[in-house]
Amino acid sequence: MTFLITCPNCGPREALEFSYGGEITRRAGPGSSSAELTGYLFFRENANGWQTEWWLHRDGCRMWFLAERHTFTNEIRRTYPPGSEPPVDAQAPEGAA
Amino acid sequence: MSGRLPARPGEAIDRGRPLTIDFEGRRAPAFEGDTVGSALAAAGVTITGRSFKYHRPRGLMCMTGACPNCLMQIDGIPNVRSCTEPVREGMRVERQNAWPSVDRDVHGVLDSFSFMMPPGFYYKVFQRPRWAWSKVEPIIRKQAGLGKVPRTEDHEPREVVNLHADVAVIGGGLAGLAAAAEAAAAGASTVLLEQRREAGGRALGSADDVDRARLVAEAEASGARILLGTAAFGVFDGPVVAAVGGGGLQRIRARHLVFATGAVEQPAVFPNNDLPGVMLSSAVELLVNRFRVLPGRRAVVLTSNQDGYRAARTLRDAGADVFVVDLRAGAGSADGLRVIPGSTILSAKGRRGVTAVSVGAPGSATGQSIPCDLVVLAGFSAPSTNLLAMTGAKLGFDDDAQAFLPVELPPDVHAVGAVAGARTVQGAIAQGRLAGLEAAAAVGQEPPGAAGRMEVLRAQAAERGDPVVLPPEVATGEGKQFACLCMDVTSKELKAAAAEGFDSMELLKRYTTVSMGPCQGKACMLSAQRLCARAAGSSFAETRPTTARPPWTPVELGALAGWRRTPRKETTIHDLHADSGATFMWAGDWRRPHHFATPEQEVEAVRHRVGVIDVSTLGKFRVKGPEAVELLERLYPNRFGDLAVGRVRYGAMLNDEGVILDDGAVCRVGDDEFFVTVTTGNTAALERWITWWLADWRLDVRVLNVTGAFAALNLAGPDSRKVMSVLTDADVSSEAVKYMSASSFEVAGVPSLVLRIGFVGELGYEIHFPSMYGEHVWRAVMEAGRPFGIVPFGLEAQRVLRLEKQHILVGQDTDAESDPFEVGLGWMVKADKPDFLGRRALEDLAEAGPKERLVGFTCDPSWLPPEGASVVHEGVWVGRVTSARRSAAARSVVGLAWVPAGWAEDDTEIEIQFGGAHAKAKVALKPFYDPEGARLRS
Amino acid sequence: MHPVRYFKPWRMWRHHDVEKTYDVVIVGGGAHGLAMAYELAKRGVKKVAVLEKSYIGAGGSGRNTTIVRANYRTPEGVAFYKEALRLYEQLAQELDYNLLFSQQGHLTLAHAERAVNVAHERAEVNRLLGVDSRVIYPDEIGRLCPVLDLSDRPAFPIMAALYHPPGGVIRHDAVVWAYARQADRMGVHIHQDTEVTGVVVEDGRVAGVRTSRGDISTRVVVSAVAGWTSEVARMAGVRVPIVTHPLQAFVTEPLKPFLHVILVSATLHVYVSQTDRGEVLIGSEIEPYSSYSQASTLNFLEVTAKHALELLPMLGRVKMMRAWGGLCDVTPDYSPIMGLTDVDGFLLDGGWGTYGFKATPIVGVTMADLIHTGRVPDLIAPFAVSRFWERRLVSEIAAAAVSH
Repeated sequence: MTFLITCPNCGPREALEFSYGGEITRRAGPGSSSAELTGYLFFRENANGWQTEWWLHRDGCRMWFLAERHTFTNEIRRTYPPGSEPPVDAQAPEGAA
Repeated sequence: MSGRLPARPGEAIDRGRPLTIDFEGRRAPAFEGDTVGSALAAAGVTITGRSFKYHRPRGLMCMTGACPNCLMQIDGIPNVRSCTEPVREGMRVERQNAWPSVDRDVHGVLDSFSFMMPPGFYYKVFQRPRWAWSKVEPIIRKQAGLGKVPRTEDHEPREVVNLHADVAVIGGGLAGLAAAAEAAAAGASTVLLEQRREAGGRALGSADDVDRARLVAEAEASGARILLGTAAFGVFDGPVVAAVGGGGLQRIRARHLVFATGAVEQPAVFPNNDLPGVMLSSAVELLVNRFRVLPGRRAVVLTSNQDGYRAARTLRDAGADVFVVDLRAGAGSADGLRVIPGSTILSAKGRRGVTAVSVGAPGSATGQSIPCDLVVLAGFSAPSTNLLAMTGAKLGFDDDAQAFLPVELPPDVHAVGAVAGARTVQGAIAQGRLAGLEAAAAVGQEPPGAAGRMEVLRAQAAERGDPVVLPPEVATGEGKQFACLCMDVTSKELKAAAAEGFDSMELLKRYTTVSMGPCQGKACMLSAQRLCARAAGSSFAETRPTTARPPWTPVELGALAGWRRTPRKETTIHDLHADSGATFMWAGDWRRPHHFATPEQEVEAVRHRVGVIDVSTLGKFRVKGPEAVELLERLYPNRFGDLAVGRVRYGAMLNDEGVILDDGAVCRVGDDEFFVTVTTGNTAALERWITWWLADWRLDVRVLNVTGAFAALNLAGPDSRKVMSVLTDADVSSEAVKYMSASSFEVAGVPSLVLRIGFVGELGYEIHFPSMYGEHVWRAVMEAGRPFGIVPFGLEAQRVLRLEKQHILVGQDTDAESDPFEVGLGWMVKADKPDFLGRRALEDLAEAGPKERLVGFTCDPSWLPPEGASVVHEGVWVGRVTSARRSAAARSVVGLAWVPAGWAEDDTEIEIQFGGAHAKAKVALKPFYDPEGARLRS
Repeated sequence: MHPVRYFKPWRMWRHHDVEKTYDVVIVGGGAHGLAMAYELAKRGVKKVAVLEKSYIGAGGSGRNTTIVRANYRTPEGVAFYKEALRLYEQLAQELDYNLLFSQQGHLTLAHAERAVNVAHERAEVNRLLGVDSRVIYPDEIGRLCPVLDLSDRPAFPIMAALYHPPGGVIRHDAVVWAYARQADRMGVHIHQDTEVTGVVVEDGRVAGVRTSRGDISTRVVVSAVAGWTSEVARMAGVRVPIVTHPLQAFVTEPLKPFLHVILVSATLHVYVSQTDRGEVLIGSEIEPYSSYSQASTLNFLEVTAKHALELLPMLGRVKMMRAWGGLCDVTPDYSPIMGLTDVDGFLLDGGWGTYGFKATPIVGVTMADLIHTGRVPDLIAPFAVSRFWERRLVSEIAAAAVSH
């Protein structure tokens, strides 16, 4: 974990300053079926490629943000605060690395 | 052939500073500047160790720390490369892997029986009968290993340094020096890492020191930071180059990486190519030119390029009788040297050292025998691409170089010199200068006139030199031909293994262990790859190099471990506890008092008088903002909208599986402000949890972890109110400060938040105040409590007290599957709330009903079941004890246990078992002490 | 013993052309896939292919730390691994190949009260299910492992240990090769350098696989690919509750034998053993983030070295010689996923996390039984992927902190 992660607040920092929060999920709230709940709780894409995931700048500003990381190369092509997802057309093609 | 040659300028030894080392109990002379290897060579020691498997004698071969031949136990440290280890006065040097001694190793007999041990020998015998292997293994195991584990413990912290630069150059040979000099002179911050104690690389052994001296001077003048004795061992994500220098770890981050890692000279393969006296030209040149030791009087040099002729001249000029065996048919006599063209070494002879070689045309059955005491293998090398490959650089086979060279480099990565295929000094230097300039330009430091110079350098850098001619993969003579010196793997073994089906480099490596010893392929890369290819029926060019893995150079664990500090947290009152003689224990990262006096005395005091415990370690959060209520309503199954200001509610946080994450107090201290406490060991995880959901929900609330900002004491016991009234002017009557209230007033003159809650089941006050006043308030409390017999109590007493009340400890009594219904906290689930974490899962769980329940139990105090004991039914495991203590109040053992849900009724008899012991116990659903909670509310 | 037969080279396995049709296609030429192939062949299923994208044993089988043990926490886990251990004890005879199994004993050190409690619990569950496992204290720990620092000097003094005498180390590659050899002898086709690029599913059932060496039609496909399970399952349209995490290890240069027991510390997150070559093998817990990268990380080397020196401070000047990483397919409850899926004919053998190698022989037997008879063996019934939909998790989490 010596790659760098760009915190949206603090800029590029060592990955060791951050905590990993896992790939993004869609929460199954009230009214969802048991199957939806199970899917949300346990099942993951676990892509070998680009993945959108949560990171916390634990030893810094303590902000939770989203990152698009390639799970094979650990390259991070973009980070952003939740709620400010970039437009889809701005994304690099799948499997670019 | 012991002793030294006459002094010459540029020698490494200081003849004015003699010293003595202890070599296996004998005194051996040396000079300052010697390595252990050079001193022993001067003393006439030719056998430097015994080989791993066959215990064959081995001697100095590379003098560069690359090969495994000279590993020794030095001052108790195993596997030290003695050829590069500087001498120190009085150091204790012992050779390894032999009994009773390296000179007469009885295990050498293994060599003669090696025909009985084909590759995979152990896999094919001893599997039947079943007991055979367990009998044989301990005997075989004794043979394993090289050096002995050090006897002394090492607690020494090592420095860890982070370095940042525009340009990092890895390797301080001529190409690396040139790169660093150019980059630094252009204005780029530049660091150069060189594993040896002197820069110059291959040129270090050269009799002619002009190029080296000039480049060293230029690099030093350029302002580049030159780190000698600093070995890069890996390139990691980032990229970060990791190196070890001065015993400590260095992490280097640079915008441009220039790899000038050179090449490692490789032995040729022929029968008995491992005999002492068979050396690489690097060793010969260093021994003669730097250490002034003549390693042999009658030498045969095998070569196909100028490296061999240089070594031959060096030997001849030092007084040796020299033959050059040149693989090239057209080679003629040069410089008055005797040259045998178009030939190779067919085999070597000797027992404890080489005595003769047979020389002839490659492939011929017999050749001419030349007596000799030194064989020099010169100019066959493998580029050191390992570190480069860790950056993701792609390698391809180069026919001219007969080697794998970088063909595609990641951005901002450069390769120069021998690692990039340069075979002339001028070409290597030009490549270095060019990369230095390019890297500097890329970081915005392009010097004037650079473009023109770069063009000239590009032309010079393209100069490659003559195509490489390698010796045959194997020779035709009789005897073992070693592909791998570390693990004693021969060409014959590789061939046999490939015939069995192990026909790829990776499988051969795993099966024969070729290249898996201490040199990790450094000294055998060329022969191992070529022989594996041949064995597998393909060509060298077709082999796939194995994955490059760290470390390129072995690294001491102590260097990796760095500062060796274990983080620990202490409360601001810690020193007072220590002064009172507290016994401490770990609680998460915290050190907390386990007890002060005895836990029994402490329990007695709290139940009958008054006690105080330091609970500063509790996790504390300040939750403030217009949507604070909304946040808590979503985080907890409890309701908080109706909690009045100044009131406290006990709550538990769940995850979306409905599993209990933590429990604690939630205090409303204002309309839009709450003070929340969580379990000590869970604080960091819960901060992550709460802020993560907050980021997702984006509510208008701030959550601040104030754990370190506030100290906290729990003052508890029937007399605690009396103590409080001494400590404060505020009205602390039961009407003014009610049970489950949160009030702000001064305690011992310090503004405090006082929660009237009682984890231990007595009238009590949890006092939170700025942590800088920790010692002051603690002292004041002890002083105020003295007339009432106050005692400080530790975690053990607290555990007994809380267990008597059946208060659960999340993580001890619950696990990663426990839901609130199972542990009797179903009352806090407000299913009519629109949503909260775990709500959806609780619907399913409520419908299914719990399968297991956490219940209280009592049993006879004659046996205290350990925590973790089983609950059994007819010999079958059905549950477990999570907590158990002897209780004076209940006059029995009290505990909590998981049992099948149907057993969760008062007085159900359960059987508890551990090891051979067992006991009958009775379920008790109500607290064992003060079940109605009258004392808490008093 | 057969005193002379080892002079002749043994034919381990052959190369074959990829045929158009197989009865069973096993994806993944690791220990599990080869064990299944062998057991299937033993049951008379002849047309079996094992497809390996690299060389056999290239993945987790050749990268794990070779520890075998049965001291799990859940009754389901203990019963399953107990049977695995029993089969391992006789595997060398069964496969006629010395697997260098060394039952030197396995110590899970507890440096905290909570860890002592977990040790108690595991000892009890083990004992009740007939697995030799007990809690021992510093005096006995010292006799088993004199080099350990048992003083109260370390930051985390050793309080007790879970001792599991039959636990041991076995040569992982030899297990792979021995299964491959016997499978090959019985007609299984082992295709190395053959990558599966797709699973053909028609009307909810498996029809074949696409590979880098051509298409194959088959009615049964088994995924036995450890860290890549999500990828292969995706090809069949099957979702799995798996996240792939890297796990790393390193060895030191060879030392004369000094450590004769396997050490595990959950508090320090390390495990240490000494190989028959004399190398000290040191591993750690899985990395906290998901990744398909098998490269070593510097942070792992630093932290693991530090923790190993807490246990064995005399190794400070001993050198790390080789480091590597592998991939673990981790499930939410740390128990594996075995058996049928919603796609008829697509079977899973995955979710092994850090435990896969230890289960090899019993995986071969049970999966082969399942394929051969169509009935789910009792031993693996608890590990069906359906347990997640039915909320019947088999939680090995407490035993998983770092229990290799």
